[in-house]
Parts: sequence; C-alpha cells; structure tokens
Amino acid sequence: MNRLALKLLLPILLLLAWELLASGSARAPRPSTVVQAAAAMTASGDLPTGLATSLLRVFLGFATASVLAVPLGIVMGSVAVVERNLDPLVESFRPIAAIALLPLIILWLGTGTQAAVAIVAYAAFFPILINTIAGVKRIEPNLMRAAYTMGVGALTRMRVVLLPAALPAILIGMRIGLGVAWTAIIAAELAVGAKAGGQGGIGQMMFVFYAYSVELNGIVVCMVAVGIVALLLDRSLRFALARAVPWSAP
Amino acid sequence: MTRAGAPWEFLRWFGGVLIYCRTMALFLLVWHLAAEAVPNKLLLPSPLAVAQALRESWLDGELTANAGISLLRLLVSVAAAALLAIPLGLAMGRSKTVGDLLEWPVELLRPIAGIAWIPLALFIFGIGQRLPIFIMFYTAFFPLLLGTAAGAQSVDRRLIAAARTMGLSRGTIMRQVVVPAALPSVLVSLRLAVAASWTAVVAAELVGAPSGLGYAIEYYRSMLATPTVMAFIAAIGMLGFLTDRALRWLGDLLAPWARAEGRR
Amino acid sequence: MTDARMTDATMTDAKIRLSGIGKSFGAPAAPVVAVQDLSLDIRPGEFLTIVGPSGCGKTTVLNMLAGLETPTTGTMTLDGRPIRGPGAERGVMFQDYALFPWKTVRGNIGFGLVHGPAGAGLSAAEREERVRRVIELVGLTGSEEKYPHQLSGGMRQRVALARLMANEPQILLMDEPLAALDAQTRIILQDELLRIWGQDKPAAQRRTVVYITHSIDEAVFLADRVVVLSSHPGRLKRIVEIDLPRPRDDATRLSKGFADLCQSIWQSIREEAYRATMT
Repeated sequence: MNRLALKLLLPILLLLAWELLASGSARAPRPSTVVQAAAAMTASGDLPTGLATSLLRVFLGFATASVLAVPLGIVMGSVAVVERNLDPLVESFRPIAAIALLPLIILWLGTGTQAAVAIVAYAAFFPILINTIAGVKRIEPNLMRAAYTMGVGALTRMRVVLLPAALPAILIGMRIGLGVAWTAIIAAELAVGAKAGGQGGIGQMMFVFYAYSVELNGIVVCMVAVGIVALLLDRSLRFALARAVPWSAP
Repeated sequence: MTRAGAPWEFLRWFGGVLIYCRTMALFLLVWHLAAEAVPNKLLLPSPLAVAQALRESWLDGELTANAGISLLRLLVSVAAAALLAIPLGLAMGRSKTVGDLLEWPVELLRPIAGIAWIPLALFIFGIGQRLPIFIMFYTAFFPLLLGTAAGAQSVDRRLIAAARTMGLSRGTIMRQVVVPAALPSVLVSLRLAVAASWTAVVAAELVGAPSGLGYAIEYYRSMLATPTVMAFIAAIGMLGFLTDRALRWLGDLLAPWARAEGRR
Repeated sequence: MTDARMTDATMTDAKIRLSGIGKSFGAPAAPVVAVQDLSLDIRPGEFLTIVGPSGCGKTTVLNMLAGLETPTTGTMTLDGRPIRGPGAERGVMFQDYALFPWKTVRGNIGFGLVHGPAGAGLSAAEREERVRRVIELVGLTGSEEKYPHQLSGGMRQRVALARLMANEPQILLMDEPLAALDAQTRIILQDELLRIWGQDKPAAQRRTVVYITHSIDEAVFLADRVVVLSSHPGRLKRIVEIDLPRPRDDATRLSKGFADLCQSIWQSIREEAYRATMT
C-alpha cells in the first residue's frame, strides 16, 4: 500500500501543479481541459479516424517489412556467403533514418498512404532483419545436427528446427520494428502535414492543430493517444512473444 | 582449433575489403543503370550526379556547416541528457524508494515519442535552435535512464557484499563497485540514445529548424535538387555510422572488460 | 573374452570398419591434426567405449562415425558400404543432449518418428505407443508435457536417451552422455544404460554402442572393449578386452578385476594425461 502511494505521488503532484500553473492563461492546456477536448474529439470521431488511418499505415508497412526481412534474414543467417556479400549494403543503409528519406519518398510516391507505408516499411525492416540474422546464427549447432542425424530432410529441418529456434529473436526484432514504425509514421505525417499538405493520420492532425487552429488541448490529446497506442502495440507483441515461446524459461 | 598466423588474418581482412568493394560497386552500377533508364533525372539521378553534388556542397562549405550544426546539437542534447539521466538512473537502480517514485512518471512519458512533442515544442520554443535540442534531449533521456537503472540494479550482490566485508563506505561502493559494474549497460544505452537522437534531429530539423542537415534535405527537395538531397541523406547515414563507431571505440576504451557486449 | 572371439569378429562381419582414418582441421597452410591413422573394427552388438586424455580427438571420431564430419584420409564402412553423411540407422546422443527447447519431453522423444524416416510406415497410434514405451523405459512417466528447461540434468539426459531409443537405430553413438551429471546420478544411469542396452539379453539381441568418455572406470564398467587413444594427434594406443561377467552391478565395481583393468588403462595414459593437465 505504501509503495503504491509512493508510485502515485509524483504523477498526482505533477498533474496538480500543471492544472494550477496553467489556470492563469486562457489558452494553455490543463488536465481538465485536455480531458474535455479528448471527449469532444472522440465524440466527433476525429480522434478514432486519425488513429485508425495511422494504424492502418503502420500495419501495412510493418507487414511488408516482415514479409521481406524475415526470409532474407533467415537466408543471410544460414548462408555465410550471402551474409558476407549483402552485409555492406545493410550496414550502409541501416544508419540512414527512415525520416531522412522522406523528401525522396515524397518525390517518388507523393504524400498519400503509399508514401507513409514505404517509410514505415523501411523503418521496421532493419530491426527485423538484424534480429533474424542474429537469431539464426545463434542457434545451437547441435540442434540442427541432432535432426540431421535422425535423417530429417533439409527443408523439414528448416521448418521444424531453424524456424522455432530463431523465433524468439525474430519476434523481438518485430517488437522493436513495430515501435520504430509507430514513431516513423508520426514523424512522416507531421512532416508531410508541415510541408506538403497530405491527408489524414494522427501526426498530421497534430500539425493542423499547431499551424491552423492553434488548439493546444488537441495537440496534447494527440500526444497522449500516441503514447497509449505505442504502449498497447508493445504490450500486445510482448504478449504474443510470451504465447509463441512458451518453452523459454520465465 | 585454428592456429591462424598473422598473414592468414591479413588475407581474411583483405578478402573482407574486396567483398565490400565488390558489393558496393555492383550496387552503384545497378543504380546507375536504373538512373539511365529513368528519363526524368529529377526522380532518380545517377550516383555520379550525387557524387558531384556531394563534392560541391563539401567545397562550398555548406555540407560541413550543416553537419557541424546538427552534430553540435546532438552533442549538447545527449550530454545534457546523460548528465541528468545517469545519476538519476543510478539512484533508481540502487534505491527502491527512488525507483518507485519515478516508475510511473517514466512509464507514462516514455511511450510518447520525442517526435510527437514537435508540435507542442514548436508552440513553446518556436522555430530555432531550442526545438531540436529539446526533442533530442527528450529522445536520449529515457534509454539512458532505463539502461543505467537496469545496469545499477543488476550489479552482482556478491560484489557489493564483498566490498562491504572489506569495510567500504556507501559512497565508495557506489563509485568503485556499482558504477563500473553498470558501465557496460550505460555505454550500450548511450549508443541507443545517440542513434535515436540522430533520427529525431532529422525529423525536428525537417519541421522546425532553420539550419542543420534535416533542414538542408527539405530545402533542396523544395528546390527540386534531387542529387543534393541524396548527397545530404548519404551524409546523414555516414555521420550516424561514424558516431556509432566512435561510441564503440569509446566503450572499448572505458570498459575493456565488456568488449563483447552489445555488438551490432 | 577370448582371443578366438576377437579374431572371429574381425575376420568375418565387422559392423563398422575404420581403416587408416585421419582428420585435420584449420587453415590448409597450418593444419591441426586431430586424428591420425586410426584403424578399428566395431563388432555387431558390442558395447565399445573410447577413452583418452583431452585432445585425443574422441569427439571427432564420433562425429565422423555419425557422418557429421568427413575424414581427411582413410575409409569408413558400415555393413561393407562406405559411410557418406548421417543416416537414421546411426543414432547420436550429444554431450549437451541437444534437446529442442520448444518441444516437450514427448515432442522431443517423438521428433525423429514424426519428422525423420524412423517413423515411416508407422501409424500415429504406433508412434505414440513407441514413445510411451521408451518414456516408461527410461522412467520419465509423468513428465511428458514438461519442457527441457523445467527438467534436472539427469532427467534431460534421460530424455536424450529416450529420443535415441525411440528411433530404434542399429548403432548408438554417444558422446560423453553422463559427463554433465553428479557422481551419484552417473552411477545410477550407468546401471540403467546397461539394462536398456540389454545386458541381460543374449548378445544377438543387443544394439551396437560406441560410447565416448573421459572417465576410465565408466569405460571399463560399461564396455565389452575399451579403445584407448593417445593425444595430439589422436592415435590408437591400445584395445583392452573387458572380460568382466555380465550382468554387471555394484559388485562389479568393487571387484578386483575391475580395479586391475582401470589401473592398467590409467597406466597407459597417465603420462599424457598429466602433460595435458599441467601444461
């Protein structure tokens, strides 16, 4: 009970201080006005629509990245020649942040969903790829050999030994990738909203609140929503990880 | 098993360099041919044009000026984040009270990406120097805080017990046992923090700064100078890569016993 | 037992025949010779143990028999046919057991029956029955649904043994299977291993076992013959016939014959063992 009080102490103090300090100014957002704004934005459907648009883009991009990165990572992790030859490319592109590619992507794909999906896919690709490679390379060699000595064929070995053995690492890569993807979509929508007048998404909503309607309560509502979604995405993949890997020691 | 001598090691290293050059040459060739096939040079300029643009922006000092500004912002914001986050993280890791006190504020704020602060920060700070520094500080802060806390928390109890039996004071134990034991974890989180900040600087400058690499790529995009845009993107990638290498080197220097940890 | 039997077996049907086997590793410029000029006949149904100081290439020999490594020189035949790669007729038990962490005890034991040729022609019910039988044989009943990380070292060892048995290979290749266990568990499992191998049954019904160990008393207790290797490079030093009566039990461990055989083998490798330990 004491510990719970300790944990609640700072959040409550901070919220109170914010409420009191901001009450002097009419436009400054306060916890009470933010809650009102959140209710209004949910009732009008703006907030759910914005979130849904962003989430759809994230899922499309994330799925694209997974479909490309997991098989490539498995091949790179199990065939040394392929890894050696492709590693220079991976190491060259990995340090380039997805958001830095935004100007190019706007040039190639415009400012719509396609561009957003491409940014997300690029952002999520490298964490998934690198974790998959590492996971495949870290497999106990004797596990593959054990299946080999039992006369299990090469393709079956891939499916029943290599894949489950690398699965924890692949899922960790996906969890990191999804987190990065969510950040990338916000950045992309913000930047697109700022410069090119694209459509939709929670990031763009925030920019519109800043640039046109000067609605600070709306901005804070969006920020909190971004945080909650990030938390939910992370928790759901953690849950998936725990469910899909029941054999790992707790 | 392998008792490889120095010449063998050298051959292996040299082979690696050859493969690197071959892969990159092939990539540049494919890019060049693709660029030849695309009629609109604005959409996909050839790597030669990009190299030319890189050279020009280097020669007229624009590349170094913008890169210098971005790197300086990175340095200032990560240093500030480290100064605040590392002591706080040590306290969180070693004291249950501090840990409980900070747990919820941290867990509530951390999921809100630094980038999502941009609109509000624009309103508070306006366009200029302070906006990207705030965003990068915020982005670097949480990995450093949590990495330090985890490192301090997972210090082997027996090490602390051993120091106690030798009669060391709390302060000495903190400096001589906890800090060195947590150092590898701090250094790994520093690399994560810098990488995340470097991503955030581009976004922040793209939207709300009148200078820096992020501003430059956006500026040249609006001028439709695609080769220069690509040159600046390449610069962002190279600087990100070099900073990471420098941090690894620093890590090996400060914590040589943790050499194998946190590779890649 | 007798010299007559040995000649008999060598002359007629060796199960596995190694002639002039050699294996080196590493850079072609500076090869490390692990095994040199090893010739050996392994008889059908015999329990053959291989001992030697560390660095004698014991594991390399076993990996070559398993088909996981190819000899640099010499030939290996099984029933007269050259060995090329692994085969389901040779089952391997690895030193670290190599249990699949994502499979339960039941899943691990049935792995070869489900995914390998060992289960070909068996119905699902027959496979289940086979798995159930070996689980009972090694005393794992009640732990079928546990994952390897939930088991003790001794139980993991039993799972690995059961997995090996379930596939019913003609030849069992075992790489220090008891090395990771404490002394009491080792003794218990040595007794069980002999029981499962069939020391109470007539010799014709036993499977061929090649068993690597670094422990001399274990080698003597289990074996029909002990192969002693020398180290750097691994070479055949001696083959010792173990004529202790079967079934063997605690009385065997206390017998004079047992002690004499152990002492004799220790004498032939002590110098090298000292050198390996002290340098």
